Amino acid sequence: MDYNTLIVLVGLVSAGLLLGSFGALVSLRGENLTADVAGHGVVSGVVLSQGVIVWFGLGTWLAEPVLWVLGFTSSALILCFIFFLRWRGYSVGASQALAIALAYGSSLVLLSIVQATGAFSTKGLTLLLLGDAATLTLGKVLPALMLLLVWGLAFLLLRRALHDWVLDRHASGLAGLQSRLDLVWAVATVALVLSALPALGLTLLVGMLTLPALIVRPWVTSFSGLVLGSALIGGVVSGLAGWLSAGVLPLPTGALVVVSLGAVWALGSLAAGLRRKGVPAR
Amino acid sequence: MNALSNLLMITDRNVSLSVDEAIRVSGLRVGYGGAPVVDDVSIGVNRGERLAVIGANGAGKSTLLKGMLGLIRPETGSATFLDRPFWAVRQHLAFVAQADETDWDFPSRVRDLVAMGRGVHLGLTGRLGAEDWRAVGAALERLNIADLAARPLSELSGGQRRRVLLARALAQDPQIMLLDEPFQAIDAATREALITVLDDFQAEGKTALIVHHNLGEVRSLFDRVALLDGTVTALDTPDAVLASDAFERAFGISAR
Repeated sequence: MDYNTLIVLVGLVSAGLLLGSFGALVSLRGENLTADVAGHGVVSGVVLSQGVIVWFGLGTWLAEPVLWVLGFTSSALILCFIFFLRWRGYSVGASQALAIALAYGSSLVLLSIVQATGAFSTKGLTLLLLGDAATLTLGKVLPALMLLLVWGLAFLLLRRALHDWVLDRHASGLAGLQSRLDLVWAVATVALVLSALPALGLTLLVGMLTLPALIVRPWVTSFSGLVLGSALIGGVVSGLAGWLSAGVLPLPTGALVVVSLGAVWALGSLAAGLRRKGVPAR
Repeated sequence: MNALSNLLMITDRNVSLSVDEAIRVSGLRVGYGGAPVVDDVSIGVNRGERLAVIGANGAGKSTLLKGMLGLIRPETGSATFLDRPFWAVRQHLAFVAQADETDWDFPSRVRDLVAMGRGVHLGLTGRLGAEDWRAVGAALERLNIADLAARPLSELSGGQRRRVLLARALAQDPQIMLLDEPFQAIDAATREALITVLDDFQAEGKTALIVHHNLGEVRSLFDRVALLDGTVTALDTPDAVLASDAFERAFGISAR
């Protein structure tokens, strides 16, 4: 296996482990669409970062840090907008719809401005939306690896509090946990989206956040089992799809990852259905 | 201040448990953005007392409880517990919401849900120790559900769910419990088990405020009754409230 293929596989497996495990929390809280909105919130910052690099003549070594800072800021602002709307009494669905409309609108306006100056190409937009695992470099993979380490440690430390926070908002709110974990969740969502963007692109992220947890859910009865199982499924399927894409099937890697997960989910649902039929009624 | 206190998890460890009044609600107005659901609510509950909040459907009983606890932000007014705001005494105060507000398909087991009651004593990163698990075991025993400890939540019946939620509150070892319709849709055995637990709780000098819907039981179960109809229209002994004009106006029936 050559160095480039190894980097691609490491990037994909890291993204799969991260998105799979974190997606279990997102799914249990029913916040998949909020994570999707956070993903779309990144676009404005990413587009703007390309403009900033060109307009201010910044060195290419600054491209990644600027992209991270502006992408993080724009996504965090969109998430704040969602929380503000909910605080004002808007329903979850309405606040998500309003936020995604704002994210799309501001992204397109910024895109027009930045593209008019030649600082951002159509190819750049395609990469942003669909990702390109084949172009992964160590620099692009490192954020996901570091985040994986931080998330693993955080899960070990906060497992009980996260269980309570996801299971019962009222109870965790009364225990004084909710505000702090909401904040951790919002920051982690944005960081995760940014770290997985180069490998999977924006449109595939929400699938990666949702499918592993859906695959594992019928087979586990514990919170830790769901999070770890989702991580495992996300990591293994991403790695396999990346390996297939590199050698056997010349297809876009991100799309292959999500389609593979979809196939595993369909087979798993079928098997879970058959298993349920074999269990006597309680 | 509430949001900041929640964020920083400020808790007053020196709260006095010897105050006479356990709960004080003053001029509380709570709503969902439009017209208030409850307005100008003022109630005092003494230590060791069991008070029922009754009212017709839509009278604002559940909203009042959530407003008192800050789960819905009150527009005006305040609620204090043991003479302190909620965030300062959170470890002494348990809330049992209606069973349908919990996700019973969540991949977890009964003992883990009951152990949530200990979370308020542990903070964000604390781990359950031997003492915590003893409290969880004792709570399960008191509700006669120790045999359900390892059962997945999705396999519980309606009555078992009620017991599990009350066990979680007891595991917290609170001084005050707020319960939202704990007797709704349960069998006779579960009802007896809940009443025994509430009697023991009161015998320990602890306070319970309970939203209750069965008007036929208020005389036997409660010391006092608050009749809610957007605001408190009667607050007295069960006999006095059931005989009041306010009761007749609220329910359209007479219990005299």
